[in-house]
Amino acid sequence: MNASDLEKSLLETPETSVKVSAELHQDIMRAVRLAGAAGKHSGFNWAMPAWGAGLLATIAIVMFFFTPRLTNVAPSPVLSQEISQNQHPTASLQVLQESLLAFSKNTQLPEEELRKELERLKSDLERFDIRS
Amino acid sequence: MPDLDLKTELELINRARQGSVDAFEQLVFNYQDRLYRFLLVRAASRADAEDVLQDTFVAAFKYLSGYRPRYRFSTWLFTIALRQLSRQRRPPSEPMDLIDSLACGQAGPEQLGIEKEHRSSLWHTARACLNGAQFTALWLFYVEDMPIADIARIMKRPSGWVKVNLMRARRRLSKELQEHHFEAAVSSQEVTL
Repeated sequence: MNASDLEKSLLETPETSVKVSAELHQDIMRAVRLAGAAGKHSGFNWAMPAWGAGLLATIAIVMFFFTPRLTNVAPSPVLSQEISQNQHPTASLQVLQESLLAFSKNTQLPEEELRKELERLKSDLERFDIRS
Repeated sequence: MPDLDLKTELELINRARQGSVDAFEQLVFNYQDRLYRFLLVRAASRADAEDVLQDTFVAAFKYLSGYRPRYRFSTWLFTIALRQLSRQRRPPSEPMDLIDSLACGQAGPEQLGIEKEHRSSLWHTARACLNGAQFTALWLFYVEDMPIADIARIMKRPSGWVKVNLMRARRRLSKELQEHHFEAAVSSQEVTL
């Protein structure tokens, strides 16, 4: 079978003479009309969120450029030193006791009461001292 | 083949772009049969072919603004149809019996008569022995009378690829037909003996 015979045979088949029915055509056009109507509506629906997003973006830009900036809130060196000392106490209990005694001498409270307070503080310190 | 001349077709496209459904309907009239035939031989069933045909025209109407007149309108439509067909993801397991599907419960003696003709139809054989791409290229080349460049555009392949596959398809089909003719001749001889 040569090329022209093949071509002729390929064109003379039932497949090449099928036609769309009127019913199918109506279905297609109905779907097209619906798609057209939906397209018009979707244009309106999409416009509103687009305007809203644009407005929000403008507000965000204005707020970013025209509001005073916050100051740096990084911890000060003094504070970090104190934290470091609290975590790793360097002053001994003896020093603390002496300073408390000196403080007690300058106060008007009765000595017995101050001694009790001192004992209580001492026990607390011993309890929380990580070296003990 | 298109009944509309190029100028009229462009006018209709422009009117349809502005939202004229009547103008688009004329374009549908002009191309529906060609697309339907193309889809019927590719889809898994008649219903699938009809669905894809409808989806193709709906997509064409929606995205008509994207059509560029430097290409043929038919090329653009067939590209959409092929894309819609691939979206279905239902490859036909075996060639669809077109006449059965056309009859669809209303088979008259006339339709039953051409059924026999269909059984030996060349396209039926082509569908069975060629792969999808070769079959598409062959259909577009012979039935749609499309140039190689347009087929390449529709199938998103280089022109060389289309030429090679057309040649292979023709060779394969010729071989298949010769074998069938030979078998038919042998079987008829057996019957007469």
